[in-house]
Amino acid sequence: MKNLGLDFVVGLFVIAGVALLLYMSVNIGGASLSDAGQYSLVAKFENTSGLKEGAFVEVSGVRVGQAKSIVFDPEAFEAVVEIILEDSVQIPEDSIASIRTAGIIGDRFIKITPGGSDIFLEQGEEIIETEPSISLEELVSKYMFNNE
Amino acid sequence: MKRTILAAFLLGASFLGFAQEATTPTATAEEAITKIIAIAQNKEIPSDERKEKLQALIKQYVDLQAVAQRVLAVHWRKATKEEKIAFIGLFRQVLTNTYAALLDEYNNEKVDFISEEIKKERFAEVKSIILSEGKEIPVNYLLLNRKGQWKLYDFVAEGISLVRSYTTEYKSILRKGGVSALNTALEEKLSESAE
Repeated sequence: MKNLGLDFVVGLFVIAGVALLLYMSVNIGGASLSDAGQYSLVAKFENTSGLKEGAFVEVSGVRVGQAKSIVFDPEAFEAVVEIILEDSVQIPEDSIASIRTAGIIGDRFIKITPGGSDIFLEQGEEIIETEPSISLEELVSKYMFNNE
Repeated sequence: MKRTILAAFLLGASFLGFAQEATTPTATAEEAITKIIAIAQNKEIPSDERKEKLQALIKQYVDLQAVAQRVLAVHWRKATKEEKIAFIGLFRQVLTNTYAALLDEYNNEKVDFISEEIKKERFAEVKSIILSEGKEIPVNYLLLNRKGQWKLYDFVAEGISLVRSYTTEYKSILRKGGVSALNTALEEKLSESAE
C-alpha cells in the first residue's frame, strides 16, 4: 500500500515533467504541434549564407513566423526558403523578403518589407522580390578591387 | 561561350521583335534600352527635346503605376485616388530629370542580355551585363505583364534597386505626412529645378 502511494507520486512527477518539457519546446524552442492557424510561403534567394532553419521572420520588427526549410535548387542555383507565417499576417504580393543580421554579429533572420498591392499572397505562393544575405567580406573585397 | 551564344540568340530574337510588338520581357527591355542609348548617343539634340523623348519612352515602356505602388509601399493603400494620380505624374518628372542628366554621362557602354525568368506568368526578371570601360556591371530589369504587354517597373544594378532607393529617400516624409506631404515636397523640388 505504501509502495502504491510512492509509485503514484513518481508517476505524477513524470507526467508533470513531460508536460513542462512540451510547454518549453513550444514556447521557447518555437516548435509547433500543428499547422493550424498558419500558412507557408516560398522565397528564393541568391544567397542565404548564415540563415538557419527555424530562423525567425519579422515584419516591422515584430516576429510573425519562421523559416521552416532551406533547400538548394540545383537548376536555378538558388536557395529556396519555406516560410511559415501566422494566418493573421497578410503579405501583399509586391513585398520584399530580405535576409538581415540581428545586431552586428547576431543571427540571420528574414525581414519582410510589405508592399502596396491589394493582392495578398496565399498558401504556397512565392515572394518574388528578395534581397540576399549581405556578405561583409564580399563588400570589402569589391571596395578594394574597385579602388585599385 | 554558352553566354555568348545565348546573348546572340536573344539579340536575334529582339530584332525579330522590332518588326512586331515586343512580346517577350527580354525583347521589351532590349527595345527600351536600345532607344534610350540612341537618344544618349545623339549629343546634338537640345536638352529640352531630349527630356521630351525620354519622357515618351518612359510612358511607353515603364509601368509607372507599378513603380509608384512599390515606391510608396504601405502608403499606397492609404492614399486617395487623386493623391496616387498626382504622385505618378510628379514621379514621372522626377525620373525624367534624373535620367536626362545621366544620359549626358553616357560613354559608349554596351549591354549584353543574358537570361530571363518569368514568375507567376505576370512577373519577369531579365538579367544583363553592362560593359563599361572594361568593367562588367550586372543589371537586372524587373517587368510586369499588364493586359498582355510587358512593361518595366524596376531595375537593379549591382544589387541596388531603383525603387528601393526612392523608397528609402521618401520614407521619412511619408511617415510624417503621407502621400500628400510627399507630393507637395516633390512639386517644390521640381519647380526649383525648373527655375
